[in-house]
Amino acid sequence: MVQELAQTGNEFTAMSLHLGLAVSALKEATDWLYTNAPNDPNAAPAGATPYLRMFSTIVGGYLLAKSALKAKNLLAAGDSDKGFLSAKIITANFFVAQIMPQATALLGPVTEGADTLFAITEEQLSA
Amino acid sequence: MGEYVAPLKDMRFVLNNIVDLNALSKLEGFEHAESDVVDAVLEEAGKFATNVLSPINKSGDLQGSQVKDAVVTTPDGWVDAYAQFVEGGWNGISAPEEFDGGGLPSAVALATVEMWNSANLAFSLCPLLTQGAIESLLAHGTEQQQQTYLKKLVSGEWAATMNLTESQAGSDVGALRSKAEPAEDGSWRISGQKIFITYGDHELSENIIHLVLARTPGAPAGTRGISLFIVPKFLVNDDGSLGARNDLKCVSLEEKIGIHASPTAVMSYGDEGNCVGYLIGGENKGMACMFTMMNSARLNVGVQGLAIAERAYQQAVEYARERKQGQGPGMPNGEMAPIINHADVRRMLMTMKANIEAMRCLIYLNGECLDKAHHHPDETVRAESMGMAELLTPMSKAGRLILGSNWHLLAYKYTVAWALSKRPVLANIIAMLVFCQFTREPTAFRRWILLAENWVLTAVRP
Repeated sequence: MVQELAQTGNEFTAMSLHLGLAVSALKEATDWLYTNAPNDPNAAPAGATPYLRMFSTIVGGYLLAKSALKAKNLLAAGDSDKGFLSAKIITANFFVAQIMPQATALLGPVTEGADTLFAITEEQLSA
Repeated sequence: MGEYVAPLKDMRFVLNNIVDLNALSKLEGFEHAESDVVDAVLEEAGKFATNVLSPINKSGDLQGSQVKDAVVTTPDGWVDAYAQFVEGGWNGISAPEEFDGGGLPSAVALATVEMWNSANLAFSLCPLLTQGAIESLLAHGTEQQQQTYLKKLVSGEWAATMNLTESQAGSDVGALRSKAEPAEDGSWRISGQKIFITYGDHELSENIIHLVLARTPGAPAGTRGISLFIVPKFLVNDDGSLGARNDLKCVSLEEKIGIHASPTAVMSYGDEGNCVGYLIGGENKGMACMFTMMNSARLNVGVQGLAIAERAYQQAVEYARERKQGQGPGMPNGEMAPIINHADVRRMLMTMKANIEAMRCLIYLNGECLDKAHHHPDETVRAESMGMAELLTPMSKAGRLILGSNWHLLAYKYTVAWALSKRPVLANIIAMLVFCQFTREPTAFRRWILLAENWVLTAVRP
């Protein structure tokens, strides 16, 4: 998908770049969890919510990128609904450039583990 | 503010380009899923949502359902809308044709469910609950139970409820205390009180089939000792006609923000000691039965998030185009520009639009995976599809995490438009967020770790 986007041309270069970074980060986060979860019972629960958000957003970006490619192909094949189809491409670009990078950045929070969560005592939380 | 208009173009785009509708229509049981048939179905569904469901949304929320002497009355227009819903065959469009269902894939049904929820969330909860019972019966009912209950539940002539929660047993379902005592004829006598029962009583259908979790004598403690029972409001005679009124009743209704029209009941079973129930799925297998329909329940909650966001977005765009505040760059003094010209409003609208379109792809894809998991002839494909569905389900449900930023535009819009009495729709938005709040799923997480690698590798495959 990333290569396909890169090959398709100008509108999709940035999309390809962002998606590549996102998937890479997701893989790294997954590997980290895979490695650490069996040894540290808090690793997965601590990272679960940012990981879920990361995964969902990147899947969303991937699906919108796929939609954009399809829209491009439909336009090239002569589909007359230019307004709708070009909006698909524009929207996909917005998502991968503006929304998805926030998910890419969640690699840090996911892989930080549970230390900061439990370093604070219950008394400190209640104070 | 205008009525809801179904975003048919985008729904069709997703069904034809992200979901492979064409391929689905080749699977056994989905012969009706061809593009042009689906197009017509979606068109009709859109009309129903706009013309019948949307107009009674606000009035229904303001009026709310009422209970008097254990009898519930739904808001004006509800009975008529439900009758049209049943007549249109909407309740059972994805149920098997064997039971008079429409036999359409869930990917397509999800689009219609999205429409009902966008148009009228409170109304949609009724068929949602009936759907759970249909699935439980299909998966776990005996042939006789299926013959007795399924056709009318599929058509919607009878509605259903799911009864799990008690005042001391919420997230910890295992703490429930409702009891089932065996009767001589093989049936059971149910007793106990259940709370938060959506559509626990109403006058929309001539019968309501309650599915109730209860504990049989000697059952182990916790979730391993729970059984599931079919407890009809009216007992059903052998010839299918309605018999005696069962010993169960609606005690009171809750006030649930955003969905006042939906009667959320406290139900009391067996006050007179004569509440008849029928075991479904085997003793102590209650949780397994419930979990059968959990996957689709979770997916449906995701659809609710998507639906509300879409409705809110439509209203937000309409508002942003009309509402004039502030002078735009280069405009003459004293003239105000519509706020849609403000860069930050554009950002909010684009964020909503992009998130909504992403979630629509994800959720319909999730539905397609479930369809393939159940209908594909190849066992490997079925297993892989199920795996993918399990991976996607928490993501579908977690729509809130992606759609959370929608709140900013809504807050802005409603701060300014408060005087125009948007309360019901605002409350609907809050309801969406609240619903989604309850749907986190840490336990699915473990499976992800195993499936995630596969998915990521697939995603990067050129």
